[in-house]
Amino acid sequence: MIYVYAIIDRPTIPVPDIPGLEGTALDTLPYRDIGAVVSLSTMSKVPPIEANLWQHETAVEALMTDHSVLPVRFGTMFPDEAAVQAELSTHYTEFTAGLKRVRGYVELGLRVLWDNDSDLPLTPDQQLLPSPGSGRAYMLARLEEECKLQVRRERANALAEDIHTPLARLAAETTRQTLITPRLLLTAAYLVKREQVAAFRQEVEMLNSTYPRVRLLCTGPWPPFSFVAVTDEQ
Amino acid sequence: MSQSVLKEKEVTLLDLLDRILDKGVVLRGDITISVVDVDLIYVGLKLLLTSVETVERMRVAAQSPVRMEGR
Repeated sequence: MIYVYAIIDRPTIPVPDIPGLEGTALDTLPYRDIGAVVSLSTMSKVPPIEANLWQHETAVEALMTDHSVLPVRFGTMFPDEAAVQAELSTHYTEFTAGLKRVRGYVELGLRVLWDNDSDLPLTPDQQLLPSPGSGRAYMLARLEEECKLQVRRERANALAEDIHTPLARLAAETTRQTLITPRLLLTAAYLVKREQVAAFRQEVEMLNSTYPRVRLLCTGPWPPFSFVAVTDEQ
Repeated sequence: MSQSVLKEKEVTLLDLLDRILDKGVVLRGDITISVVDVDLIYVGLKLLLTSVETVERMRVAAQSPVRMEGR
């Protein structure tokens, strides 16, 4: 089986001499001016254990030194070289556009955590509600509680916006989700020019001191996983 | 943060998982990760930030690997 790590530009530049999964060498299967970086696998299925996940990630990161890179989802395998070539040929236009889109950029991840979520609960607090002796009293209390929750959610969204906006200014593209869990105010990804990474981190530090009630955690630089959009839907 | 003092390493690992298993280019080749695998990874790591919603998202991703990504 052939395991695929990434789609790259400039396939004639040798891939880094680092081991891929199962310790096998990385190799490039070129197609026109792009290529797929692969390694041979004896397994029909790669276990998603931490060591393997990092191995995939390390390989993709190493490629970013000399190439524009479209990271491929972990665990993608093909039966033979011809199947990989066919894939490159079918999606050549999309891959080329994707490589151009992320050239010179890296992805930075951000998670913003509430430092004190008890101060701003986002789900109903059952203890605040009166015992349902009277249906009317219960409904009124419930309504009041809902209104409070609504206010808190709005405050949360406004805060997420205040944090996201200055960071988005340093990015070409962004993705974000607010309140995936009550504790996780903001989960975002930013496509940032490599030279801007330091400035981005500085901005994160600044926001950390500006908003003491939340904690910003920045990870990366990552390969641009969140900013590739190539599919096999056709 | 009450019971969840997250270490940077845990967040990094969570971010890696979110990317490597749920994002990136999807090719016609076999995605060899099953729903069970994905659930086990998340459960096994006992990550405090792992929500039911995340697991649900992963479940959907694993069931239909052929779809638009990253927008």
